[in-house]
Amino acid sequence: MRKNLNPDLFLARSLINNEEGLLKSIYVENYPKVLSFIVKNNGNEEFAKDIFQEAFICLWKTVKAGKFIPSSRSAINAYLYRIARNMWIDQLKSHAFKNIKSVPDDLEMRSNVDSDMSADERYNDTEKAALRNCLNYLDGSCKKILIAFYYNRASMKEIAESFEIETASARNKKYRCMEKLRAAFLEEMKNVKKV
Amino acid sequence: MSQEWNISSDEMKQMEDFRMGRLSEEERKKFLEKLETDLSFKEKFEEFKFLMEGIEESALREKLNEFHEDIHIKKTGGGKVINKISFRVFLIAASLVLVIGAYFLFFAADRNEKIFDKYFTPDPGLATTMGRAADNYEFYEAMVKYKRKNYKEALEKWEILLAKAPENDTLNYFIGLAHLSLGDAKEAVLYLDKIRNDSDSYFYEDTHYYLALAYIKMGEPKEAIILLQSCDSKKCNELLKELVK
Repeated sequence: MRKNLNPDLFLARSLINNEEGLLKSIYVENYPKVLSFIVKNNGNEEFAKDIFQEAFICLWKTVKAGKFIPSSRSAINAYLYRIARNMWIDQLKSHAFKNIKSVPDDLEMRSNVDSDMSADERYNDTEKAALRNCLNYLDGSCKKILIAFYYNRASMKEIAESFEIETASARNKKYRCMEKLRAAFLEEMKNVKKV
Repeated sequence: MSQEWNISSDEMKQMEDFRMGRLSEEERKKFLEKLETDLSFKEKFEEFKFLMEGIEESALREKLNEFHEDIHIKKTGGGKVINKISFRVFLIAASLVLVIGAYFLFFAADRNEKIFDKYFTPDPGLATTMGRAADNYEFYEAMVKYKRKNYKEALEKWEILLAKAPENDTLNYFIGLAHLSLGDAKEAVLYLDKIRNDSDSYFYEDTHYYLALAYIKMGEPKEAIILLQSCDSKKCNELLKELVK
């Protein structure tokens, strides 16, 4: 939103609310430029996709954390390109890169360097990745309800309708699913520590 | 993280409302105070935040892969990346004669209506759940009406705001959309046309798409084709393909 309707907050809010139209248009608009840069600099499409997606997540997290309030679409585009570019240069410089054929597992960690977010976060990247894994292993309806509520920002009423249950039952189910996710995460971390 | 999670559903709801910007200013202040003073509450909140962010990030990662599949990119032998625009221009040029021919040969009006009905779904509107700044309150109040398909009521409110900011792209866009949703393409064109060249606008691509649909409804598919040529979204491409079939 521009002019009278406070542009800065509008863009940030839309990103924070995971508005699909905006996220998708940012993705579609910016990927070709990053792809072109990486392909021209000893990369390929596979690297470009991974680097770009990590940069995208980084942008999204930075806005969510209130550390970057974009004033316009072009500010978003410039920021995203800069992160992706730096991540790729960092990648090229890395010693490991010289000996690998595919995208290294630690690529994700590099993305946080640019976002300046790691310092004040209490969970590390291994824990975050473990949590995402756990979500995928939850039963389908739990994953669906948690994503609908927390990512798509659907109301409990809408969720209840799609599951054909009462709103109160939907709320209970969501609560139980959060508990399950937390328990699965604790279990997963026990295994990680053993390894 | 301890094994036991003694978070009540009320506490979880408060945390959700806080994270999703659904608290009033006063409630927000109270919440922040509690975080400062109640260590066990703060601990629960940190855990909740971690879980919620993990869910969101996981969902976004899946979405990014979906977005990726929609990108139309062709790679040439030398690794140079080209957009499909040139192909599209060719497609349009090659098909324009056919379009014009078809327009006269077949039941153009009927076809236009059918295309409009097939492709028109009202823009879902903007999120109205975040905390609202006072100057935006009326705008979002009308947005709630719009989302409930009370287009006339939304229009009444937005038109008052438009008088104060006649160039505002958001207002022109949604006023246009409300008219189009009511079936009044001519009126919709008056507003959407004002912002069609505003390439900085968040609504730039969608404006072109809906303006094209308005022209189709008015029986002017040629105008729609011109508009769709300067729009690169998937929706625009699909509609363009339909028009040049």
